[in-house]
Amino acid sequence: MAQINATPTSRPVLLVLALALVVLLCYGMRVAFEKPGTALKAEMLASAGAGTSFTLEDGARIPGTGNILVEDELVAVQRVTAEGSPVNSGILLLNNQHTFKVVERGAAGTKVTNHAAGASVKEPGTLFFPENFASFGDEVDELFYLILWITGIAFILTEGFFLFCVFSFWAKPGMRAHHLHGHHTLELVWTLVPAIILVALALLQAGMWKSMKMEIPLADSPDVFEVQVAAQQFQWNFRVAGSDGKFATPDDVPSVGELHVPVGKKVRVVQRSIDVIHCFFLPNYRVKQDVVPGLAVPVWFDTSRAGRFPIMCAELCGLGHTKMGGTLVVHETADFKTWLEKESTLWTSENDGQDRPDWSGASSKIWWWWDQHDVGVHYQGEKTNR
Amino acid sequence: MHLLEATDFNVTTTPWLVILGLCVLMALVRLIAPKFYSHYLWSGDHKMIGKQFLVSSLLWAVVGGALALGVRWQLAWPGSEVPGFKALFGWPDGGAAPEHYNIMFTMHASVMIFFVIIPLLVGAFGNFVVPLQIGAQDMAFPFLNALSYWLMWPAFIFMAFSFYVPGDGAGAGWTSYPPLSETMLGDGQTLWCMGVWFVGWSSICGAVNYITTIVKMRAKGMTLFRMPLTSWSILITSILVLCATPVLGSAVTMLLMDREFGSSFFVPAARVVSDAAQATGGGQVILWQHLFWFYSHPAVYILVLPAMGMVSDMLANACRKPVFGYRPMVYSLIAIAFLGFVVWGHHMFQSGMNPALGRTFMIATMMIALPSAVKTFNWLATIYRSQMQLEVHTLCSLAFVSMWIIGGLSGIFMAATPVDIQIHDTYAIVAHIHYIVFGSTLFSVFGAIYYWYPKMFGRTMNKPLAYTHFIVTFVAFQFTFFPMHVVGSRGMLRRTADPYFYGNLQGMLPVNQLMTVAALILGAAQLVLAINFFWSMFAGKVCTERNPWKATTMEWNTPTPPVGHGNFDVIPEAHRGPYEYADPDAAEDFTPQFQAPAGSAKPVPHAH
Repeated sequence: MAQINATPTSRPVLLVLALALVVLLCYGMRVAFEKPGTALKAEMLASAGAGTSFTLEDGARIPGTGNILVEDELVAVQRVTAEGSPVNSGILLLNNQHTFKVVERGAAGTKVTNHAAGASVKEPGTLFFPENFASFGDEVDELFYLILWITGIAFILTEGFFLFCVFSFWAKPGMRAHHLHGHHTLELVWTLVPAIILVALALLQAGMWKSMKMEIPLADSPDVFEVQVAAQQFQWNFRVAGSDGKFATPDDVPSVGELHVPVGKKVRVVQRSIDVIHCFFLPNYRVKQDVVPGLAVPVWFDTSRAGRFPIMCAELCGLGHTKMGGTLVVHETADFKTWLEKESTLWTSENDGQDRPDWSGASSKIWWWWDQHDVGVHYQGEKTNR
Repeated sequence: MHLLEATDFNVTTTPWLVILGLCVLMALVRLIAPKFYSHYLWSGDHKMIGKQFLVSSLLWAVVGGALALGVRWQLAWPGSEVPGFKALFGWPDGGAAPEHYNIMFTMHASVMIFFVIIPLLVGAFGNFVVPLQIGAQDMAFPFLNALSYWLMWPAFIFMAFSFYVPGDGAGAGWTSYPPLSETMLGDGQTLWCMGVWFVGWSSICGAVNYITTIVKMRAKGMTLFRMPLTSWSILITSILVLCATPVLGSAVTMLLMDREFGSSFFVPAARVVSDAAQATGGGQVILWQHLFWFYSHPAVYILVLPAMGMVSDMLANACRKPVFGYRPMVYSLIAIAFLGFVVWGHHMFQSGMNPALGRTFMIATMMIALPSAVKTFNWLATIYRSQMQLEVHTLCSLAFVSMWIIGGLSGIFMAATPVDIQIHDTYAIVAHIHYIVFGSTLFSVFGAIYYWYPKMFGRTMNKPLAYTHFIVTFVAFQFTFFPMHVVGSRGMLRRTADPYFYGNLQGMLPVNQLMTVAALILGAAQLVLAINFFWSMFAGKVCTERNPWKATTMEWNTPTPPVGHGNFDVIPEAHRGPYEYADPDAAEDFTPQFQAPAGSAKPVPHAH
C-alpha cells in the first residue's frame, strides 16, 4: 500500500475530525445529562398531594427514599408498608409491589427542607460534585477545583503540544527528523517543576486530611452529638442516646435506614459492622469511611442546615449491596427534640425497657450485640480511647 | 456458617478431573505426534511460547469483554436480561440478578488483569521480543518458560469452572476483600483463589527467567544501557513480579485456608453470620487489604511498564527519531518500580487504616506521579520535530501518549486524600483505571501486534482493517469512559447492580445508556481486530523482509519469521545504542544496532 502522508491539505481534515470528536463528546454528555429522572414513573406523582399513598406496579423503579423532580417541582417520597409506616432500607426487590407516600412537595427553587437528594445536574451543586453541606467540605471542593485547574492547565499544555506535533510532523519525502538524543536542562526543568507542584499539593492537603479523619470530636463536648452506626447485610442501623445522653440505656432510640440528627452540631459517628465491610458514604457531606468488622471506626461531620440527604454504602457488601441506602435527616433543634421524645416514649412505653420491639429482623438484636461485644474506638488519631 | 462446616474439603472435583484429562491428552499427543507436541504444545522455544500466550490471552479477552458488556448492559437497562448470558453462563435471569452482576464485574476484572493484560505484556511480547532484542538464542530456562505457560492452564480451568459450580461464582470483586469473600457460599470463590494462585506461579516462573536471560544472555556489545526500552521495561517488571507475587500467593493461600480449613487469618472477632455470633475469629480484616495491595499496586505497574517500553520502541521507529532522553527513561522506569512498592496504601485511604499512614502514602503517591510525568515529557519531545510515518503502530503509540496523559492527570485527584474521600469507590476510579489499562496499555498492545506481527508470522496484517479498528476503537473508547469521570465525581458508585435505587443517581441513567451504546460499538470493533489477526495469519501479505519497518533494534536482524530454535543466522553483536535514527552523517535515516561501524575491518561473521 502506498505511503499515505498527511499533506497540508489533509491536516485541516484531521483537525476537523478531532474537533468533531470533542464536540460530539460534549454534546452527547449534555444531552444525556439533560433528561432528569426518565427512569421514574413521573406521571404517577404529578397529581399526588402530600400525604397520599400510591402503589407502583411491577418493575417500576423508585428509590427507597428520595426526592423526585416532577416538572420543576420537588416531591419527597418515602417507601411505606401497606399500613403506612416508613420502610427505609432492606433489600428492595425489583419485581415486588411497593407502596409509597408523598411526604412533602414544593417548588424546586424554594428552600424546601429536603432538596439535597437531587436527581440531575439541574440540582444544586457543582458540575462535578453534589452540593456540599459540611464545613470542611468547602475546603475539599476548593482543593478539588485547585487540582482541576492545575491538571487542566497541564492537560491543555501537554495535549496542545501533542496535537501540534501530531499535525505538524508527518514525514516529508527526503527529510530527516531532528537528530537529538536528549537535553539535560530540559530534563531537569520538567522533573523539578512537577516535583515542586506535587510537593506543594501534598503539603497543602495534609492539614485538611488531619481535621477530617484524625481529629474526631469527643463526645463529652456540648456541641458534639454522638451517633452509633451498626452496619449489616444489607441495612444501616442507627442509635442515638435518649434524654439522659448515655448509650446502652433503655431510652436509647434506635432506627433503621434513617439517621436523625439535630442541626448545628458536630456529629460524631462511631461505626461497627456485624458481618462484612460496608462503607458509610454521605455524598453531600464529603464523608466516606469503611465500616470494618472487628473495629469501631469513628468519623465526623457537622450539620449546618436541616434537610434529608442520601446515605450510601460504597463498599461492595454482597448481593444486596446495591440496595443498601439510607437517609440522613437533619432536624431543626426544636423538631429534633420532638422527634426524640416521641421515639423515646414509644420505645420505653412499649417495652418497659425490657424487650425491644421488632423493628426489622435482626436489628432487634443488633444493639444487644453491640453492647455485649464492646471493642474500643480504634485509630491512633483518636485523642482518647472512648 | 460456611466456616463451621469447612473442615471437609468439598470443592467440586470436576476442574481437577479436567486438568487431569488435559495432562492425559498431552501425553497421548506426545506419543502419537511427538513433533506436533514439541513444536506447538510443550515447546521450549520462546517465540512459540510467546505466540501461545498471545493467542490464549486474545481468546480470554473475548470472555472478559463479554462480561464487561454484561456489566454495561445492566447499568443501561437495569433488571433486563443480557442477550446470550442465559445460555452462556446458565443464569436463569440472564445476568439481571445482583449476585450475577457481582460475578460479572468480578470476573471481568480478574480475567482482564490475570489472563489478558499481564500474559499479553509479559508472557506474549516479553517472551517473543526480549531474547531477540538482546541478541539471545533463547530464554535462559526453556523448561521453566514452557512451565510458566502451562501453569496458566489450571488457572484457566479453575476460573472458567467458577462460573458453573454449585452455588455461585466469585462475586466479591477482583479485590476479594474478606470477610465478604469468606462468607460467599459456593465454590466459585475457592476456585477463584486457586486460579489466582496458579497465575502467581506462572508469573514467578516467567520473572525468574526474564531476569536471568536479560542479565546473563545479552549479545556481545549489548550493554545494559544499549538495551531497547522494551527489554528494560520487562527487566524492571520482572523484578516487580518476583518481589510482589509471593505476597499475593501467601495472601490467597491464607484466604483459601480461611474458607476451607477453618483458620481465621481475616476473620474478625464477634462476627455475626446468619443471626448467629461466630465462635471463630480474632483475625484482622484489613490485613488482607495490605497484603493484596502490596501485590496489586505493583501489579498496576506490571500492567503498564512493558506497554511504556513497547511504545518507546514503536514511537522512535514511527517518528524516525531517537527516543528523547533514553537514560531518564530508564531511570524513571526504575523510580516507578521502587516507588511502586511504597504506595499501596493509597487504595486504602478510606479503609479504616490509621489515617496518619494515609498521609504518608499520599506523599509517596504524589511522588510517583513524577517519573510518569518525566516519561510523558520525553515522549512528547520525541514526537517534536520528528518525521512521523503513517502506520498503525504510529497511531496506536500516539493514542497511548495522549490517553496516558488523561489517565495520569486523573490519578492526582485520587492521590489527594481529601478529594479521594469523595471519589473513592465511584466511577471516577473506574474511568481512571480504564484510561490507563485500556487507553494506554491496550492501545500499545494493538500497536505491538501490528508492529511485531510480520516477525511473528511472516505476514503483515491488513492495513485498511487495522485503520478501521483503530479509529472506531479510539472514538468509542472516549464515549465509553470519559463520562465516567463526571458521573463518578457526582457520586455514582461502582459495583452497584442498580445505582438508580438512589434518588441522587437517577438522572444518570441516560448518560449511562450513552456509555453502554459506545461500549457495544467498542466491543464490536474488537471483532475487526480478531478477524484481521486470525485471517492474516493464513492469508495476509507474505513478508520475508528482515526489517520491514526500517527499525534499529536487534530483533530485526533475524530472518522473518526467525527460523527454528536459535533465532539468529548471524552472530548478533550490538555496536551502538538502540535508537540511532536520523543521524545526519549516516547513509540512511536509521543505523541499526547490529550494523557494523563503517570502515570496520571485520566483516560480520556468519554462523554457518
